[in-house]
Amino acid sequence: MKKKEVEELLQKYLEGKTSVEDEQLLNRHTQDPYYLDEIGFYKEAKEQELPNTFDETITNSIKLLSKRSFIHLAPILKIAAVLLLVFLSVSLVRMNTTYNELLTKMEAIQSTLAVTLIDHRSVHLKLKALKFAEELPEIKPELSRSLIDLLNNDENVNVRMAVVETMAGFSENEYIKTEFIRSLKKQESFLVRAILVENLINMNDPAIIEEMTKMIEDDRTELELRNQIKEMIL
Amino acid sequence: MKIFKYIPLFVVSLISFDLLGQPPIKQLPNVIKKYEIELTRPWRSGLLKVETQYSRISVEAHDIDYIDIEIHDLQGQNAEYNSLDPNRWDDVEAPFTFVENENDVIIEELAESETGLLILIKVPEKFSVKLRSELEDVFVFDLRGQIEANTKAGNIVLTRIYGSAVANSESGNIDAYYKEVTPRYPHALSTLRGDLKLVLPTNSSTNVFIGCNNGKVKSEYPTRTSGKSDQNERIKIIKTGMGEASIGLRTYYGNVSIYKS
Repeated sequence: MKKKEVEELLQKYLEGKTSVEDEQLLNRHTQDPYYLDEIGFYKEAKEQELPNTFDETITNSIKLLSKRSFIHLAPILKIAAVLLLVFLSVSLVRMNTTYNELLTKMEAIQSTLAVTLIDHRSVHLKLKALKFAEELPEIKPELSRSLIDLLNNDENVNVRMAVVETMAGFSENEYIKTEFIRSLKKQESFLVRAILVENLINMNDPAIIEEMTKMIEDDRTELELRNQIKEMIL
Repeated sequence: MKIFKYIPLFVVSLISFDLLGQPPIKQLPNVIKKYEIELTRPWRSGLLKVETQYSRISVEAHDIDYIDIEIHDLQGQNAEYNSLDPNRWDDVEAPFTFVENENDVIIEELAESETGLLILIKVPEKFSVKLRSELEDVFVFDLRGQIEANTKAGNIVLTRIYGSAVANSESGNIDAYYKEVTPRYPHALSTLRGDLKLVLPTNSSTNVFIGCNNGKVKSEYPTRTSGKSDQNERIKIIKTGMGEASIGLRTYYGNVSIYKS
């Protein structure tokens, strides 16, 4: 066998295209020391040849490596997340406390402002004060007293009516109920009395209904007011 | 008689009042007294307070820095004034007292005042007014300050309001024509027996609360019933725009009508 033919067989062997006869033929020539080194080289080259799935293997390796890095950092991230949550919770609690404190202070200022404005001579400022009072969640005793004083003594009918409507928003307050009933006897304006009656009945209090029933039976009560009470109670 | 020649003018002005929402008083000529009050601090706004028993009050805002007062004899019934030569008006004592103190001007009617007088006052635009007439009408025009008006038997007409208004009449009607509805202060209009008429600018941002016990509510804006008073459905609410300003309307026997300007 010529040297060229042996080389061609070796090339086919390397490419994996050799038949059984080719390999037997090749094996015979491997005994020849001349080809021995060359065949060894080809065998070594074939063993070192990269697999067909090279790209896939590389991708898998990268993925594994990434996974390993993340898994490696997981405990640190967990601790960081816990610390962040703790920090956020503490901040939220603090913010909420500050917000509530601010809200309380604002309400106190609003209440004081309302009391101050009520004393002003301008009806517009008094009505503004009543708007401030209306927005408060609860009505402080000092403000209640000022408002009742306004209801009983202010010369302006619109201001007195606005006091009734503002205070009616705090109808759970017993002081307000009692003072509203007392004020009915003090009011000269029929319009203010009518609004007092309307708001008192809307409070749905049995004691008030009893008072209203007495007003129906009282001849001194205006006929229109008696009719209004009857219409609302019955 | 002198009064008869003004009757057609009076009729025309009455018609124009009905058509345009303007009271006729501007065109009545029987001026019997004039005053000009200089203000101590003309650059500042001030308060005009007028209290009368029998006289009609009209306040107009102008671009001036003084207060101008004219007293008119509306019905020509006051013989003393009618018999006077106009050049001798200064000889007549007006039945009013005037006090000016640091831009606060107080005008009060004397107890022995005649009936049928009109006190026409021109004030700077930013002035606020506090007006009270027991038996006569009150008119206000173009004011940018705060308006407080009260009557027992008279009507109240507030025309071209730019500031805030609080008005009450026991038996009269109240008409309020807003040019702007300021959210700075709440507005309140109330009457026991009269009707309420409110005209709002189309671009206003207002909440209107209507309490109407025995009358009817007519509105060019949609109304809804307040949740607070569902029990008797006496409070109705109109919201225009964002509802920044607040107007409270209350009448016991009268009707309420609300229009877009």
